[in-house]
Amino acid sequence: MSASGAFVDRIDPWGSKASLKKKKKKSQGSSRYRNAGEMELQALPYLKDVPSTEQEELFIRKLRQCCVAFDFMDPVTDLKGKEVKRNTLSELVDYITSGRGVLTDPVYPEIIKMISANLFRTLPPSENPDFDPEEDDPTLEASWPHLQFVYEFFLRFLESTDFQPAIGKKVIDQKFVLQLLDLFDSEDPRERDFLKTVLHRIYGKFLGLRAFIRKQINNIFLRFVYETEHFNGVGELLEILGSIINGFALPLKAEHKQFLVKVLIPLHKVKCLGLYHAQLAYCVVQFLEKDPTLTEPVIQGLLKYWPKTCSQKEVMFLGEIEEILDVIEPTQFVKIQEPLFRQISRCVASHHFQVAERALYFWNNEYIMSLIEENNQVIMPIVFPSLYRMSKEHWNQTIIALLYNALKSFMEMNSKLFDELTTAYKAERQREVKRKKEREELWQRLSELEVNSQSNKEQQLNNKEPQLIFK
Amino acid sequence: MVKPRVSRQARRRHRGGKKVVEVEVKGLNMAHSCGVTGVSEGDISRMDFVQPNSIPAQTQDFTQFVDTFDIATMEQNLSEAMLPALKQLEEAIAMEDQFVANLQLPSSGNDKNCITDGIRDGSAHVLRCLKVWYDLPSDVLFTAINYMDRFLSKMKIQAKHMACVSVSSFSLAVQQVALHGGCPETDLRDLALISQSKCTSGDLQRMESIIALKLDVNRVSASGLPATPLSFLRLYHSLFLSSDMGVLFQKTLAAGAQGPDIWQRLEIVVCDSKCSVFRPSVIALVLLCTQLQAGVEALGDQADPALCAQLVQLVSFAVCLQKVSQISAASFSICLEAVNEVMSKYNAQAQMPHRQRLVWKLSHRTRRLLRPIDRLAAQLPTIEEHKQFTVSESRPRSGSVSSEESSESEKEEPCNRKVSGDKAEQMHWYKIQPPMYHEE
Repeated sequence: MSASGAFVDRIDPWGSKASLKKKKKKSQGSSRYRNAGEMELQALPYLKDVPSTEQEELFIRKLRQCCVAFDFMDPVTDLKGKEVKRNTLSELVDYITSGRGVLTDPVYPEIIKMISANLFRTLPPSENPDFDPEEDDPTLEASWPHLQFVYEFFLRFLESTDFQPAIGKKVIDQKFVLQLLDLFDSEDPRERDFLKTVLHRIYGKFLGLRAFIRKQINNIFLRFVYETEHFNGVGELLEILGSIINGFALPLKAEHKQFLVKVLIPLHKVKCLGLYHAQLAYCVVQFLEKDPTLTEPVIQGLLKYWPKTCSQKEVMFLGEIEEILDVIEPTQFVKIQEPLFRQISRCVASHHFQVAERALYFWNNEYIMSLIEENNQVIMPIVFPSLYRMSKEHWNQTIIALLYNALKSFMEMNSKLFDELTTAYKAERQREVKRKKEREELWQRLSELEVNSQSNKEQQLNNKEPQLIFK
Repeated sequence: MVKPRVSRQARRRHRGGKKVVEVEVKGLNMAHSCGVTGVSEGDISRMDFVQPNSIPAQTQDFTQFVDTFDIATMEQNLSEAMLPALKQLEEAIAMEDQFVANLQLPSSGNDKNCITDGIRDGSAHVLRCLKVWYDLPSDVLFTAINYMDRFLSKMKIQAKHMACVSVSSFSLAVQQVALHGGCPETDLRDLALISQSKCTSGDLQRMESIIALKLDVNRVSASGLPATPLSFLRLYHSLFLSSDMGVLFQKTLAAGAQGPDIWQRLEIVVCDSKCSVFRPSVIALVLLCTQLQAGVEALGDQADPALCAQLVQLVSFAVCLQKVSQISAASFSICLEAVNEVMSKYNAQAQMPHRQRLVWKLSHRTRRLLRPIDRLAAQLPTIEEHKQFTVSESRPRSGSVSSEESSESEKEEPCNRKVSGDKAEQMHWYKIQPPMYHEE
């Protein structure tokens, strides 16, 4: 299961991140530890050396042999045993790839048993609770030398031309899938990549499991968004979902639309969005290509979750908006143009230069410009004030140049409206200056009034005769 | 039908049109030299100032109406207050010729290097944008375009130098206008960058001095800025205002504005090369008249005879100004056509035909993160909703492709799972991740 929360079993729980990072060597983790005694693996003959009648039995024996686990945290123990297992696994991979008729009925449960024995394990807790995927190297799985063969084998098994889903579904059931999904939280990216392809094939081949898989993925995401904000496999799961969404039949089922609004959009609000944003954006865009009427809820959702303090996320959101606008239909655009461009106007005026830059780069997108042009009467008045104001105020030279481009584009789009907006803006500025001046004058007068009243009071006091003198 | 009573002398004057008209201060002479007694063809009176159902139209011949107009009333309009302005007008008319560009540009270039009217207009609009950018007064724009046009009419410039010429005219104009106190001193150090003219500041300075030399700017500037449509419009405007009909004039003008005011519209007119052949005074007067016409139409109901009479007064005052400025009927109508064309395009709020080729420079960081979806590794094959997925179209079993060969571009880097089992260890797993895993 996924690790959660803080460490408690370190000697110094208040140790700084720097001290935790002292060890520079590549970290490896595993929750498998050595068996009670040294396991002697009996060397079996090669499958190719055995007559075909005996191959099935030998195959099963080898599979059972590979169910034995080894401890990789200790690099010196059981070297011979590990080597035997590795060779066997490698041989099995070749056997299943090249052979014909190797997937007989009895073999299926044995294969699944072997795979379960090797893969399904409790994932070790994260060594580095403040793991920053952009800075740190991930903790790799120590038993990878064996695991990679197991995964490879699993994949060849699923993709084999002899594979029969009808038999397979007896052994690959919901419980199996659930355990597989738990593994997506592995920190090892190689493992997750294999899992991604494996789950993709399982989803593809077992129509009976599809609804279950979708439901479980939903649960994982919802837990991630609303409870833990930690799960390493969000990106991979989203990639699988991308290929699923791509294949949706039209009209879209209500369940799928629900998924978009209740799961995918909220995924945008998590702090570590950067880990899976590309895949998430792809899913969203796919949905919109399937059913353009979903544009309005999507844009409204994004605007609702628009980042207010994290500029990196804001840049990502802007990138996603551009991808969405690239495929938007003009009728849908009209529905969301006002709130969207109000937000874009705010981004243009942002003091974070990357946010402003990304927003201004929209003006270089021909399709977006054509949409703006069609609706320039609505959009120009919304964005113009920010552009004009920032052209006088912004500190960054790149932004200034982009602001010029944006203003010039507007001027070319509709000179008359541009002139009207310029005049209106200047008039408004003058009114503001005047109002400010009046306010200041008012305060000035008030303070004078107070001074006067005070001096009046003092005078009054002085004029009075001393009534009581205390001795 | 009353024939226009214009003497042969008057007609010759109109055709030749460049002499200074001796305008005496006395009102009566003014009226005579305006030729209000006779109206020639094709001038302002032909414009549809008056609605068909109004009283003057009922006379069926507007010219006749003007003819019968009371000269005395006219004289009253020419008050003492207008005299200095009138004098200025005459002087300006006298000097006008030296500032006329008379630029005739081809519509399309036979060779890529020649400057077309489209290129000139594009540059003019760039200057207009720069004027807005630096928050400068209109004088700068008109002066700049004047320099630019005259320079172009005197020298054969290659198209690739157009940007340099126009931007240098702009900075020269700013200098000159600031010299005459028309605008504050502006820091134009970033002009070369902002205008994207692909020149350095040094290039601009050199071109500035060339233009100044060629157009003899320093000698002329001693007496003032070049005569531009703006200066004439100001004169006409103040003359109207100081007349008896000042209030009506403003009201009519405001009614016809419909958004941008007359000063902005004049800028648009001067940015169009159709109008670069006309004298600045003609352009100014024509635009003023079109705006008055729009105002008259907007004021609507003309059943009120008093209003009608006043409007007629406006018209005749305009006629008066036309005479003083020695604008012939022919040139007026040709210019009118051109200005109407420009204004109708402007009012149509359509996309401008001459767009500046803009340079989009981005910072390195933003360029890397432009499109999130681009960064995705090769995607998994689609799974159709109600069909089973078949593996055959999935993995390209292309044999042993080493990781060095397979990555064509940095962003592609497909999932490098090797098909051949014994090369399993070579799998470069880090390549399949989005770049975030190993930032520089």
